[in-house]
Amino acid sequence: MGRELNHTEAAALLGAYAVDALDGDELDQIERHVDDCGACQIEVAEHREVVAYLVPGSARAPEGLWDRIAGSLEEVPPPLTMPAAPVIPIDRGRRRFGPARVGAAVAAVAAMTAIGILGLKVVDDDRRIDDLRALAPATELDRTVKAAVADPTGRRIALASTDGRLEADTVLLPDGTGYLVSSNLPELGAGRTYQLWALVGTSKVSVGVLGAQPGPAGFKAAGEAWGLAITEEMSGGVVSSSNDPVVVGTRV
Amino acid sequence: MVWAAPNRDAVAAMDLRDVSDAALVIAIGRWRQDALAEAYRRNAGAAFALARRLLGDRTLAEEVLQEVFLRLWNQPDRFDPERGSLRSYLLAQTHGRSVDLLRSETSRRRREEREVRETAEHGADIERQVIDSSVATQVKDVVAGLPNDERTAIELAYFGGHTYRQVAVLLDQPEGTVKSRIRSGLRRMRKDLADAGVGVSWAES
Repeated sequence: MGRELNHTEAAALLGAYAVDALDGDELDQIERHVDDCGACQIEVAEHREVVAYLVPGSARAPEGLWDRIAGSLEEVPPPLTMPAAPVIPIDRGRRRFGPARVGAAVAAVAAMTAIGILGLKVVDDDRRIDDLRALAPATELDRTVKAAVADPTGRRIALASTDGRLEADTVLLPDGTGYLVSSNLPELGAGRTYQLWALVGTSKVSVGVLGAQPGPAGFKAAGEAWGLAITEEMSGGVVSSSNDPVVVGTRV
Repeated sequence: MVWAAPNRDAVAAMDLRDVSDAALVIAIGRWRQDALAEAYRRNAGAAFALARRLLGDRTLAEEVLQEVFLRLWNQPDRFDPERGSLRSYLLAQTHGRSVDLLRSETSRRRREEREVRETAEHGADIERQVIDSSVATQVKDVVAGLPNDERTAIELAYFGGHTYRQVAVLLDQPEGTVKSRIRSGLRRMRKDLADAGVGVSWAES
């Protein structure tokens, strides 16, 4: 493993990286940088879009290849599962976490149970995965979050993990605007992000990514969200997720 | 307990021939084999042409394609429509896997013998490669407008599967120069394609 590249050094390698013309330490170094650099991710994607134009588009794949691919697909897709909801030991939980946390944990279990019953489908309404951290300056966001918390029409949604250890506090206004007020989610490693999902009807709609260490953030939840969930995903977020929610909660 | 179950009904009525890449991949995410078939119909020809060009071996190219489309089936969420087209994603996957194979010891020797022969015979030939029915003229013009040094470096790296250091040796040029030419050539092409009305500016916002 080589040293970390600064952005200028990394940028000089992006063309070669985009066409797989790096190897060894340089490849490791640039991959580490690109994983964490949105600007470099965009440039690499642009280069790859450009070279895609150089490949003959009118060529034909060999006869029979699709049949072999189709024949190797699994007949029954693997279920996208999460662990069964645990029984919350209320008494122990109260001593350990206090009533509020137990309440959040119970709400989380209830939400997970509801998810299981409904068999949520995964949708991303407009295919955008917003970076929620970038939506407003910190000071302005702080004021807005406080105003939303104080808004009598706002509904608080307490998200929690099944064991009650992890929590996220959110508020959702009637127009669908919402805010992540606080959380105790642990910081994620390089290349990982938290992603927020709105539970709407029987769907799980991507709201946006929260980064590796979520702070207060604003978002717009599509439709009539009856709950929110946060998953851990790769940087940049995903269109659909099969990961277990880290925390989840429903409107009370 | 199910977090997100396949839901065929929700997308059953979708005419897959007309849907966007993003909608197609959502359908694949719901285990619709006909959606994967449509992704294959749209992109397999180009992916096969690229793999075969790189590997010089039809059987290996077919194996790469099989791997790439199975990966799309099993991990559709690795495709991010915010980061480009499904075509460029699948071609990047195809290129990466092909290059991995190329750089394995056995095929490397075989490829190097072939490459030396072909380079001596033809030199850079991206211009001959560019065939895409809807934008062929614009792309050919843009490629023809590239400085020779940039075009040759991109050709050897992308279609030859060489590292930029290997390209530098082949062209007898400094490594840093080749590295810069690959990037500047790609950037120049992007700008010229956009100027010619070929949209590659999806990432700008």
